[in-house]
Amino acid sequence: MELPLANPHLKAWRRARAHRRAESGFSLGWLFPLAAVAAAGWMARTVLLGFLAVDDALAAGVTGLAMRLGLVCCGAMAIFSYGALVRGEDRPVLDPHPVDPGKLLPYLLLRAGAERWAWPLGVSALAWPLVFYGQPVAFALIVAVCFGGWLVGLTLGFPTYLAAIWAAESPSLALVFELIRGTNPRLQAALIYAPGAVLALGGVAVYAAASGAGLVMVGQPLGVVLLVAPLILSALAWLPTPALARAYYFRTTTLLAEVDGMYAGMEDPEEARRVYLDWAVKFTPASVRSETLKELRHGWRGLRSWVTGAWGAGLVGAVAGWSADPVAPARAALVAGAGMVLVGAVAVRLSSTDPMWLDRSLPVPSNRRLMARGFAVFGWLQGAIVPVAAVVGVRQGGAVLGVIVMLEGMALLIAIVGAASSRMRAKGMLPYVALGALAWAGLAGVTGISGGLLS
Amino acid sequence: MSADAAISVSGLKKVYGRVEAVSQVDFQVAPGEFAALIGHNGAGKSTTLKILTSQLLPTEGAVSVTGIDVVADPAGARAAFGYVPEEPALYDYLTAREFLELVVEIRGTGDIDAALAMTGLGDDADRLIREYSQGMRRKTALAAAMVSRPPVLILDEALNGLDPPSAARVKAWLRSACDEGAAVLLSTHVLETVERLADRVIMLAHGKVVADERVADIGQSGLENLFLEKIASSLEG
Repeated sequence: MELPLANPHLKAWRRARAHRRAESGFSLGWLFPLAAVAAAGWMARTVLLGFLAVDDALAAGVTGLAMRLGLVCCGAMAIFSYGALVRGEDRPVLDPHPVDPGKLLPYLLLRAGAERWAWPLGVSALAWPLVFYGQPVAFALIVAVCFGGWLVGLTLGFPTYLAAIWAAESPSLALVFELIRGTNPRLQAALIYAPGAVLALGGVAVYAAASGAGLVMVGQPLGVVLLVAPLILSALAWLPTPALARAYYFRTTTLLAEVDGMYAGMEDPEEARRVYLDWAVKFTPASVRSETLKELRHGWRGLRSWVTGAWGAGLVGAVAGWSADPVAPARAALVAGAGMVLVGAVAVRLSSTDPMWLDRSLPVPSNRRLMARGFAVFGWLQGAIVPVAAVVGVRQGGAVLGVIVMLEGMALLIAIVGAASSRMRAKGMLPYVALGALAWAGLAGVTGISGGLLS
Repeated sequence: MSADAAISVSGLKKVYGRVEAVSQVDFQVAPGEFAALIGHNGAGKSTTLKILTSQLLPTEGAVSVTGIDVVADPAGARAAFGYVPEEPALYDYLTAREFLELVVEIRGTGDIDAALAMTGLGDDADRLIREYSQGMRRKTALAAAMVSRPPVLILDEALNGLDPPSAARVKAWLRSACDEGAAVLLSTHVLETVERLADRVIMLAHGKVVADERVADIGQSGLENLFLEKIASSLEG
């Protein structure tokens, strides 16, 4: 592997960053979501730091919180490294050229890492009230675990996705993927499960690091060794990566083309015209009906995994709520609420892919478009509410009403915040993340206060 | 398969699920030859070019560029050809000159000033690509494909959207590249370009080669009539 200075991809990236900075100027915009997450941490402190009120629960509490936040960082980086290596902007640009994967991969890794360096800081900022309560070491350990999760999600992603290409093409694994592919092309199955594999493997390292944080809290030196487990796994994961890249980087292009071609072949014209929730537009005001239909179409056809992701968030929330424990409804609402904040970012994604020229040549009053976008997002978010409401209704009876009211309120808030933020196109992601985090913290505060009412 | 062919396609077949995109496609392009690939929309031109440029795997058949098997050695094959896809992707936050510098560093050789002059991008070479029109983006992609003067050029609708002076300059450059021994395979719908530039025309209809003729041999009836006739007989068949 060459020194970064000699790497042509890194050189081009540095130039592109310089041009981007020259165009947009120095920005402290990233401070806004960080401050909002810190505020969210304060608002949600009774939920996140409840262990501080229990005797002798500090080490276990730090372990639990560090693990959850570390897993968020690991999962996020598993997805971002997938974007960088598999479906990122570099692949179509470089596909016509004889790139050396040995030079390309360090660039992709550094770029993905540099563009998301703030994730572990932002996520661990949720735990900052620990410092306020006189536990700065506990907070520092949580920050360390979050950075470990970030690193392992990033570095483990590259070899895993390259290995997934091998697995997808392997005749001996064809039967396995045929069984688990669902309605997707078999060749795609390995790629679909790969981020989960990264999270599972990286999760082991995060678990070790979080346990290490707990041990450090009680003064056991072994904890330091466990704390660096993500670092060790990351170094080990990178060892086979150059060889895997040389073997499978180019095969990724052909596999993606194959998958896209299969989808195109399967699509029938009638199916292409059908849109999820298109029937719901009749319940919207007549003045925004046609715009709402356009938003629903845009989301379903261009950002389908975001739209259907709401059901994923709902299912995860339902799993969290499947219990007779009195706090289960609040837990389900919090998990589903976090998923709703993630999925609600679709509003900003919708506007960032809008063609500029269309806005200029076919101007639609922006209020009407934003209202339509808000209706669409509110409709999509129902997927996160239905499974949670069903499970809480079955397990806890009357508590379901409180959950529905809270989650519908949350959906409305996210729809409004998302639509308003989408005015700023891609730049709207910063205010959206900030306000979304605050909305979730508000939900956490309400569930904390009304926990008794729910149960 | 001739060992001397710059481009060799033999028994090519591509199937997506139940859809047969191309089948029974055989042709070769010799060094110094300018071949045009024409056909109706959906005839299989882009699929053929994607397989040739190792963006897609064939279901059956063998494809090579300067004798290099594009499936077995995609990096080696890419070094042998310059390729302009139908919708070229570029780095928006680089200038054309910076992008060409990247390509030259990847390919290990190239003359950036010559490539810029050939496409007529010279005056705009130091502006960001994101400020470019579609035609200028295509010129950048053409310059990137040609900058290292590879022995094979594969162009998918690459002359669309160019202003007439630029199109004339690029065509002249392509012709001179052929005269110096490069093989060119151009997919296009513009039959006039084929008649004026190409040595050979390969016609695809419904995924099959329905004609492979020297342009000089087509005669008085003209390429357009031949094209319509072949499409019609392919439909009857």
